[in-house]
Amino acid sequence: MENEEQIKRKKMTFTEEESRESSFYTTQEMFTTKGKTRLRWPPRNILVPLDGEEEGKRILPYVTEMAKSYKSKVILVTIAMPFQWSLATPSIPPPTTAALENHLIPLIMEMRIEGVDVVFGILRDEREKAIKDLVDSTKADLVVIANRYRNPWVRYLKGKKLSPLIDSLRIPIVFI
Amino acid sequence: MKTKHYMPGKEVEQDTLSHTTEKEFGIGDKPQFRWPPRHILVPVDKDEEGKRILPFVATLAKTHNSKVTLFTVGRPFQWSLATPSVPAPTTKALKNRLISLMMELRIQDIDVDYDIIRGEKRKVINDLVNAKDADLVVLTKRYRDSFLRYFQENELVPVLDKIKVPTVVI
Repeated sequence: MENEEQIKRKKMTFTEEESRESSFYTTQEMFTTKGKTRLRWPPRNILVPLDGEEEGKRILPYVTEMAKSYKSKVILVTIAMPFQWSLATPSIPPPTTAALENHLIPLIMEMRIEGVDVVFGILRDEREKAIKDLVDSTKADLVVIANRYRNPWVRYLKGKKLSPLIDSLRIPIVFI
Repeated sequence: MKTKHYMPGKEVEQDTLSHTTEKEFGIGDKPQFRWPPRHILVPVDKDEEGKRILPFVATLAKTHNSKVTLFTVGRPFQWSLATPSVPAPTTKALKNRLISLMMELRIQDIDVDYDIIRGEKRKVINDLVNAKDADLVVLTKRYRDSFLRYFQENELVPVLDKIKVPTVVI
C-alpha cells in the first residue's frame, strides 16, 4: 500500500516530467496567408519517407545526427508505387516488400546502435498523398526528403509533384 | 543549450547537445555540409512573409551556436513580369531592411551578418552557399496571391535543385 506521501511524490514527478518536456520542446505557430504552419522545435518526431532507391538512403547518416541532437524519434517509411510500371524508371520493376524490408533493416539497426529511436514501415501508395497522410497520423514535426542525389531526369519528374507537396504540408521540410 | 532534467528527489542540469560531435557529409571524399550546422544562410524577401521565419532561425542558431547570414536577392533590372507596377527596391532600402532584421537577431546574442546580391535567385543562391561555406539554408514558402502564385510556385523547386546543402522549407 502506498502512503499519501508516496502518491504525492509520484504525482509531483509526473508534473515535473511534463514541465521538463514543455521547457525543452516549444511550439510556435507561424501564420501564412494560406493558413498556419505548425512549428514545434526541436522536433519530437521526424518523418523520413524513402522510395526504396539507393540514393535516398544516403540521407540517413545526416538524419541520425539530427535525431541524436534533438533526441527525436525517427519514423522511417518506404513508400513504393502500388503498380508495376513507373515512368521515372521504366526498365526497373518495383522491388518486392520483402526486398525493401531486407534493405531497410540493416540501416535501421545502424541507427539504433547510434542510440536513435526508430520505427519503420513500408507503404504501397502514391508518394505525395502518403506523405501527407503520414504527417497527420504520426504527428510528425519535421519531414526529411532526399532530393539532391537523384539523376536529373528522375528529379525533373519528381519535381513536378514536389511543389504541391510543399504547399500542402504545414510543417517544416528538410531537403537533402 | 542547457535544460533541466528532473529525477526523483533531485534536479540535474546538463548540456543537451554535449553528446553531439560535428560530422561531415557529402558525395565521395568531398564533405559538403556538416551537422550541427556552423553557418545558416537565410534569404529574406522584401515581403512580410519572409520575415516570419526569423523566430525559427533564431531558435535553430541558438541551439547549435551557428552563425547566420541574412541575404536578399534583388532583381537586376527595374521591371519584372510578375510585379510590373512595383519597381525593384534600391540597394539602400534593402540594406536598411536587412539591418533592422539583423538587429532583431543580434539582440538574442546570435552572430549575424548580411549580404545583398543582384541576380536571379536560382542562379546566385548556390554561389553564395559556396562563398560563405554555409551548411544549411532556410527558405520560406512564398506567399500565394492569385497572379503571383504561378510565377513563385515555379521558382521554389528549381532553387531547391540548385542548392547543394540541406535546405529547410517552412
